[in-house]
Amino acid sequence: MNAQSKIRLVAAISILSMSSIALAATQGSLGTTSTGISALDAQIPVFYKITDVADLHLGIFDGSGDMEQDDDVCVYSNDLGHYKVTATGSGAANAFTLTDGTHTLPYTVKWNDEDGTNGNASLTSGTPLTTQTGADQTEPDCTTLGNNANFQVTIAASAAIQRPAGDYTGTVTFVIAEDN
Amino acid sequence: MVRRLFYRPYYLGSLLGAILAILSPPAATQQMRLSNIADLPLGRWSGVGDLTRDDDLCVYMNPPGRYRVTATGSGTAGAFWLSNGNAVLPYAARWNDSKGPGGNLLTAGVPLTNQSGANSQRDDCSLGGLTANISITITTSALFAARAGGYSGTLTLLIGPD
Repeated sequence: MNAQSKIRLVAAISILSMSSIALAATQGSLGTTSTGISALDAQIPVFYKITDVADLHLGIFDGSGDMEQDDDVCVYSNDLGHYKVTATGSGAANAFTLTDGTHTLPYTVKWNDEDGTNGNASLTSGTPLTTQTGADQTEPDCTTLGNNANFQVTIAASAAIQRPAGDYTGTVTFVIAEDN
Repeated sequence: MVRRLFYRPYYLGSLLGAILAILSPPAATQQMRLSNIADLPLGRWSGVGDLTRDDDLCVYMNPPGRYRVTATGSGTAGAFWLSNGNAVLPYAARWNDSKGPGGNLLTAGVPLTNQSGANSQRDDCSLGGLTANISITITTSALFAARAGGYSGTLTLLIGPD
């Protein structure tokens, strides 16, 4: 059986509304010197960003073992580094399934709020995985501190062996958002 | 006879000095005024690019001449910072001695000297027009490194003769 899986990922940003602050400039007076004062203000919404996302090629089924790939990604948040992650697949009702156009091939997804797969947790399509931590709070691309999360996709051998030979593809979408 | 001759030139010199003092007006006191100052709301960051805002100002100076401008922020030791009460957000300030953004970067508390082009006609520039500009920039990197929230502060501008 020949199986190949490709997963495309997208990022999402959550923005909250904020209000400005009352201001009052002060004009200078006529004199040997003169002083004026301007009030400044700015608002920074809560932002999240997921980057360094790669496609996953799970390879060719060898007839016996699970097919598995994972990818370290960067999660940025300017809101104390906490977040929740929700994944949806491209199958019917957002199921985690690949397809050859006729047949579907299920897979599972796990998320880790650290790089690597140690300690990762299973995701259910459309259900947020909450209380995730460790987002980068200074750089949206994790340049200095490096990637800080991981997702892992597994196609069980028991599922693959039941499917006709062919190329199976799909996408999984991750949404990073505020953990209320 | 000698005594009267001795005093006559001295008396004439003093008289001339008094006449000259009456004819020459006192040196004019230089008057300055900074006005048309507006608050600078930099707005809500979109997540892309710097936040910038500028304001054309009136610098009046009469008699005309060169002036200096000194800016101080509301951060520690006059630093150019905004604050949300817990964290700070740095910004850069730039002064232009003509309308429109540009000119020279300001250092908090350090006079920027040799500025020119002040209005010498009206202290509110209602005749002759505005003559300077202050611009504020918060960089993308500073915005990404800051916590979400509202930030505020003040910028004080002092002008004086150079």
